[in-house]
Amino acid sequence: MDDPGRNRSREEGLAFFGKVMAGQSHEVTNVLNTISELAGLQKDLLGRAPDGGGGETGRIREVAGKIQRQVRRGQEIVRGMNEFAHSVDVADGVFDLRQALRQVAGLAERQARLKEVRLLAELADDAFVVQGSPLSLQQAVYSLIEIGLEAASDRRTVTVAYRTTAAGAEIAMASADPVPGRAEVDLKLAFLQEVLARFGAEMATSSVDGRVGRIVFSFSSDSRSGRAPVAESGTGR
Amino acid sequence: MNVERIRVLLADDEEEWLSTVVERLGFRGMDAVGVTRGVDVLREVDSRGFDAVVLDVKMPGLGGLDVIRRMKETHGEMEVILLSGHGSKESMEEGLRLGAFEYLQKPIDIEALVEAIKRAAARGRERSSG
Repeated sequence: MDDPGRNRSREEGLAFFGKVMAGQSHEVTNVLNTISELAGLQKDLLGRAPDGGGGETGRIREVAGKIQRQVRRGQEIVRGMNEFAHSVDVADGVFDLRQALRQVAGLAERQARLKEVRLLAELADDAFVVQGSPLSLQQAVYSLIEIGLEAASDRRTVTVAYRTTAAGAEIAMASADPVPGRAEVDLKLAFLQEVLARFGAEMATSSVDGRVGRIVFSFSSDSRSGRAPVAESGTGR
Repeated sequence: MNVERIRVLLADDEEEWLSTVVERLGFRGMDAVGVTRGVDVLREVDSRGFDAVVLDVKMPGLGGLDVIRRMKETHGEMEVILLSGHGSKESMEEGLRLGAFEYLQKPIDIEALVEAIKRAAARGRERSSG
């Protein structure tokens, strides 16, 4: 049975977590921006040195370039972290499914890389705006991807695709290696059903020999929100 | 426009970033001055002449948007470029609505910043003489 007091406390806890994480990610971004400028200054100084900086000029310039590339990588990661942190700004919000999938697929990249599995996100252009807990939906999509990653063997591909249909919108996960039927997987699937029901959405699986090959989240036109989604880049706090 | 004649004021609370960019702009022929607080922008603009101002949106105390709001009342001809490291669409829209000349995202490309400053300075001069 729902306990409103406990739910409220949990929501406030999540909002606190998100606020702190967003703030810290801004601090890290500032550090990365400064490192990038310092690397640029290094290149400038080399260009101005009367003797061209000596024999190691090429190497120093190369290192400055590598620093800047790592900084860009770090900035992208922090941008993703910041977006994710802002997903708990509201317990019940209006957001674009396409954006949510893009975000979660980015966050799941590391897990895919560690498993040496290729995670492919295919996103149709159209938006589909729903209302509900952005965090819950992201958690469901992340779990969906995890199910596929856990089943996949090395160097295989897991595809997660978003598209709009005549009936609404779909998020579908397909794994090159079908998911074996196990109690843990069944529990995860039951959790996903529960989350999707809160959005008025449904889940369908297709199996062969008891192994799930494809899982589809379907959002009908009734799930669609008539309101505009929240701004994409967070509230800039 | 001859970049050697462009005087630009930069404001950012990240001191190391600020001093580095000031130095890099100096290498590119600009006379750049840096301050770390929004209130200091208003003081510097009042006491010295600048061709353009570059402001970070998020600064302690008086932020970039508040500075531009006040500057437009007293130095309407001064063109302001806003910089942000945090990508808020609302602050970009608000900044442009308040009259910012341009809004750039960090990490900046130094050459792109130089070009933006040149354009802002040229526009400011047109408005002063027009």
